[in-house]
Amino acid sequence: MSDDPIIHVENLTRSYGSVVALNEVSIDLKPGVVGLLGPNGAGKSTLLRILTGELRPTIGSVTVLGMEPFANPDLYHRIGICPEQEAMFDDMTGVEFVSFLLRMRGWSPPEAASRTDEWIERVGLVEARGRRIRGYSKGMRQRIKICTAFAHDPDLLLLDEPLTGLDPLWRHKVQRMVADCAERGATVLFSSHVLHEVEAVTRDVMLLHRGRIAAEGNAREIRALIDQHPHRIRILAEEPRRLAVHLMQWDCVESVCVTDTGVRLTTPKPEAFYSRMTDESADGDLGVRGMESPDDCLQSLFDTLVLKRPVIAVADRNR
Amino acid sequence: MSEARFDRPRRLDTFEVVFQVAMLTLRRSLRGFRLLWPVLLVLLPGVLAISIARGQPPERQEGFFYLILAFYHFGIAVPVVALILSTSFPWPESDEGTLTYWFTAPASRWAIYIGRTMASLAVGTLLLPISVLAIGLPLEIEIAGPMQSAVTATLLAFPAYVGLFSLSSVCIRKTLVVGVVFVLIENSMSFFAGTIAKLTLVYYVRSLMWPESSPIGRDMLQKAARIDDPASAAVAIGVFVGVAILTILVALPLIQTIEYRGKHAQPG
Repeated sequence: MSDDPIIHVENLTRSYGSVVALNEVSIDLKPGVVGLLGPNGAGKSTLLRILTGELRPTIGSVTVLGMEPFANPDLYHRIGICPEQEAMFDDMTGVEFVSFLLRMRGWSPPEAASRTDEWIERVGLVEARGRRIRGYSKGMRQRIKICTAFAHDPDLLLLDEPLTGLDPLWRHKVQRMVADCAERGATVLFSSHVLHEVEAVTRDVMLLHRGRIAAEGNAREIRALIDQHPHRIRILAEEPRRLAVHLMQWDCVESVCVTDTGVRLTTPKPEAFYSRMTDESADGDLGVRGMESPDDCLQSLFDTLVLKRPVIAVADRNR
Repeated sequence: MSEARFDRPRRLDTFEVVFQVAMLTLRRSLRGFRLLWPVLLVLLPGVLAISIARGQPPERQEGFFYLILAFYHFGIAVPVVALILSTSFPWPESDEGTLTYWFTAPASRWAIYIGRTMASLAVGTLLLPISVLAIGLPLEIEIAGPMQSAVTATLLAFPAYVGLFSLSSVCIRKTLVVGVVFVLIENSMSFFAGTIAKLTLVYYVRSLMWPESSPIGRDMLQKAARIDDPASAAVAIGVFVGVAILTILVALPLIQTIEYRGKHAQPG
């Protein structure tokens, strides 16, 4: 086994015109699962697009699995990608889409068919396998993306907000898939703006803020900081009022507000909340269709972190 | 890092990539309403031939045949069908967000581009001769020779247009708009006699269908399309083959190096 980093990023700067999306980022990623955490607009997707070779660095160098990523088919043979954007080949069925991507990765038709069946089943889309992707719900589209990222058993997985749009049960299952993948020896870079999503799969976290690595380290320490801020969660539900009444009985829920499509709540104990929500959603009685956490609390954490790091604070003021 | 957890399949070679991409693109082209506009463009002259020229004296039918071929088929149908079929990749897919799946597949970008272009060529090659048949078959005249040369001219001109438009789609974001403007300008230029007309592909395609044996056809092309001095078949074929090959050869290195940052790729 080589000691070379799986991902090596050195002084990476990427700008879009006058907007600097990434600013002198340096990363050495070793095997395992690493969470890339940051609020919206922090530069996570830009970093992932550079790592997948869709974008080039403006300044600096990047190697992934020892190769330069831009337009590099040898690298793409070994990585799995779950992009942030929802767009797919909507006129194809889920099976056709996954199978075609496997065929492009060199699998023979029978092997591609068998792998597709296996993974379609793993992401719970057996009943929708013959339907056009156009008719899939947001969660189903997300699961198909995950399917395409995992199905060829890649050495490196680059997952951009992979849990977006998934209900608690599928969040848990995908987190399990990531953990299984890592156990088999793959490296996973998992981006999210929700610490608890990342924390469920890894303790190693990189915090990206305003295009810079604001902190790297153990998720537990970061959670201790974030838990000082009230955590807001939005839940899409079939019966918001009934769910709100139910949630108000939970110790870990501080306040609940009913909206047209679901409920908004705050919790001082997000870990306990997510854990209980996953357990109780499993039987489907709560009618939860999706869950998301705005990044306000993360944003305030980042502000705290940046203020605690004078070098970064000074650099930010100079921008 | 795991080493050899399983035998990873070998990467597809270029021919396999081109074949896979072309087949998928063909299958997708035949679904839904993608081909609606090209099919309408192709069938429209047939409807016109039946409703306007059928039943007219043979000379008028022959005149109509050459007129609609020169103006509609070669001036509009061939370039517009090429435009519709060849400009969906890569910029439009980049804006849509699906380009990620093409450009992160373990295949060269240029091989994917070739596959897409082959599919466009295949669809157009099947569709456009139908347009010629749709014009000629309803007319009660001896037009086997002219129809043959019109189909040949179509099949030679179409790849040149596909090459041009797909090259512009590699380089320019709004290719559809640019293409429509190009078709309008090219048609306008083709009515200027002399050097200006010779800068257009329409001039060469009209030259290729020059009716040596039909005084009515010659008269129609001379008066209406203002072709007094048609290019030789060798020159016309050379122009089409040259444009097709040159545009594709220019596109190949460009697609390898251009960074396609679609609308979804906002800073962040």
